Amino acid sequence: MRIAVVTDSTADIPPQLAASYGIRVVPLNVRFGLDAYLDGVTMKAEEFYQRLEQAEEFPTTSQPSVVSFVETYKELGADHDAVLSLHLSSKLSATHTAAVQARDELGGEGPRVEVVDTLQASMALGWAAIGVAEAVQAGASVDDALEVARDISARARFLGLVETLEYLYKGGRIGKASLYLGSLLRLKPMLELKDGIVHPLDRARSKNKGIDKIKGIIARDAPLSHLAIMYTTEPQLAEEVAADTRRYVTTGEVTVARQGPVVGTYLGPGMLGAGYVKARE
Amino acid sequence: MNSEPAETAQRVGIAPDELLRLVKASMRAIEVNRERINALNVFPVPDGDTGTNMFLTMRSINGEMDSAPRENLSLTTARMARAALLGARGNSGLILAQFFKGLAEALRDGYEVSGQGFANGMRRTSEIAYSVVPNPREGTMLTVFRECADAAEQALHDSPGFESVLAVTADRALDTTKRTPEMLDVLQEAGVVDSGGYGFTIMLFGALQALRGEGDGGVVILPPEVNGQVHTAGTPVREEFLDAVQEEIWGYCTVFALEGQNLDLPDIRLRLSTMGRSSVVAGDDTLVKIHVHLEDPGKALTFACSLGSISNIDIKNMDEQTKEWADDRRRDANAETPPEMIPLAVVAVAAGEGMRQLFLNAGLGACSVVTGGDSMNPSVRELVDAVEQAPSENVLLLPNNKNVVGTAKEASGLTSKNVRVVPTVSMQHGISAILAMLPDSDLDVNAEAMAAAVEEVSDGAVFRATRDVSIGGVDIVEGLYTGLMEGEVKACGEELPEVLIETVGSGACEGELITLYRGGGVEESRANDIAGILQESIPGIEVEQVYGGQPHYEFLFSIE
Repeated sequence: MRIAVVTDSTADIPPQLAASYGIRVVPLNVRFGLDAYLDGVTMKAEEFYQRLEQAEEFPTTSQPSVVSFVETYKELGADHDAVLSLHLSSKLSATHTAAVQARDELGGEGPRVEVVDTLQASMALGWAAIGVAEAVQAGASVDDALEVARDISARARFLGLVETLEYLYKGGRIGKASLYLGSLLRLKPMLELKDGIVHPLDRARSKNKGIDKIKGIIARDAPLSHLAIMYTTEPQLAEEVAADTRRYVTTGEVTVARQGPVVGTYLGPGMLGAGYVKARE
Repeated sequence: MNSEPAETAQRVGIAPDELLRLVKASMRAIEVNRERINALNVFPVPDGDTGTNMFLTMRSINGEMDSAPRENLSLTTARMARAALLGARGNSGLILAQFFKGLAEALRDGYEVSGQGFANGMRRTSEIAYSVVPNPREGTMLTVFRECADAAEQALHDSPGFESVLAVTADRALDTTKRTPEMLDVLQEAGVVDSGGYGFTIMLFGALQALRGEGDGGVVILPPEVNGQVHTAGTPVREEFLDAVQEEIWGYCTVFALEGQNLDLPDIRLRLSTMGRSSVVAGDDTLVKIHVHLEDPGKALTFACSLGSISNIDIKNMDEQTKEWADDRRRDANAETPPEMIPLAVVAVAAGEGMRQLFLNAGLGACSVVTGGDSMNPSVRELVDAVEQAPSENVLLLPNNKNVVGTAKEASGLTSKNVRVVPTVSMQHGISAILAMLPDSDLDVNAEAMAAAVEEVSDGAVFRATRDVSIGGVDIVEGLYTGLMEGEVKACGEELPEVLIETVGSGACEGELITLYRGGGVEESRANDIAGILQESIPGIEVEQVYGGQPHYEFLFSIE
């Protein structure tokens, strides 16, 4: 049984890492005015954040087309018997819906396709895809691999500190974090993805304090089986946090990864966060 | 063959005149429930006009049809569709117009409206409506249309008569509307169901009432409950939501018709969707109705003029509308209905309008303020009352003054509610405490987190002595500015900036952020100047200056 693993670009898995596990990444779309780009393909993070800060118009994002999923599944069907397609929270994006439609579109032709709504995003989704790829390499069946996907998604957490809620608010993804709107003081909101939507977590008066709080949360959730420190525009800061949190990971390894354009559209410049998986108890 | 054919219990179909009667009834239903619909309108723009827009759209159909010939169903429905398109107001009106277009397309060849015809019409409506919006969102009128189409088709299998199909569809419309907050976050946040979906539901019930000969459509249908509460114009909307509404720049709601030749609908749709928000483009290659929200309506009009001639122009300033809406809701909230109970509330003691606002807007929608502080300590009674009125069984009490801590502790024992006093000795500490509030944690965890947050903050103040006094063994001469850091005199002098800098400097070595709260007697420009001087004199530390409006103190500050 040959099983392929598919995810979408909001997993923000560093490309080399995705390639090493043979994970196929389907890009979402990001648009500045009339100019449309493929997340991470025709629009890389580097260029995106430069434009985001200069752009007069707020960029918009949209799910991959059903056709792009159909083509991906068909192509993988040539040398695989089954495809596991793990995606961004269906409460944040229609990506999962598009994948399901593509599966239905195949109508029994091609490989068996299983679409999973992980209710996660960023590397919390990324680790689920990687975990499934590892299980498949170790010979897991489709059903076992599905169980792995659900298990990791449930243990995973994506949280972070943003400079402003403006991007989430304008993009219509603010969710329960709207409780933090309206403050008269400058605050760094801390947010997490919970039950597939954005929730308020805490607030810090300064970035340093916020980063300390993030490290504190990671420490409380330790031991972790996987950890990625996520950033949008400050790699140096992410490296520092990674060095400080290495000891909480059972393998001692921390991945530093950049939020791609689509997720970055909602978090904005200066975001720092973490996507991790708690170790099994 | 001895059984009678179908024309028995249920009427099979209806002719043009009868259809018009039902359309009038559905307009009447909207008219009767208009304010209820308006009150729910928070998406895409909270401007409280969905009911009005739907009503005006329906009225334009009836206005047109009253004088038009109604020779057959095909021509009648086509006329209605055109009148709806031209007369459509607002986003909701234009989407509603798609219902008439859907009916017209489905009934093009019919002689009467039947259950089958209606089901086909609903399906076409759903298809067209989804196609006229660039980014269809679930939890809106679109969802209601689609599920109505599903329901109508299913109903055909059980009983194909028009009346029974319409009844099943109306029930489903109400059910779908009820579920809209689960699909669209902004509705859940505001505690409302979708206004357009609710409006369409009402229309179906109005038509049904008329079809059954039970009235003229003037049914009263309350919107479904959200979180156990029916939302009406008097229902309080969370302050944060209202603030956010007013902060947002909504621009102008711009609606107009465009007539021309070979109009390229997909291209127009794309151009408008990039020009503004909430765009809806509906029609055909000779007549298009356009709805779009943008900051400069001229852009959309200029673009349209290059393609043909424009008419039926209706432009509304949504910033005015949303402000009016938010203000109304604030007034209503102050006037009636007790607030919804929440898991955790804060009662803070504060003096000065700016400080009051800082506490009220500290987020989480949970704080009430009792006025008090130096030389005007609140009574135990006042604190007990505030705790009793707080919208939660669990209350965190912030005394914000060392002379009020005792009063607060006393008050906490005199109520049946669960109260924790966080012993904050200054308003600056109180602000740090409330900002540390964790929305998803319980009373004790929060009391602990708040107390810990206060530990990390030093507070201070600068005031002008109104008489000769002695503080901690230091004599202060009347008229001089005096700086206190954690209660100790650190500086004294005639110039406010110098005294402030010296005082802050005595404690800032370990901090990274200084928050300055300017008192009621200090002008904003002067405070900005002083904050600038302070920033320059202590490099590497961020200075934030806000209005506190507190009495007695020129500045309060905190260092963290």
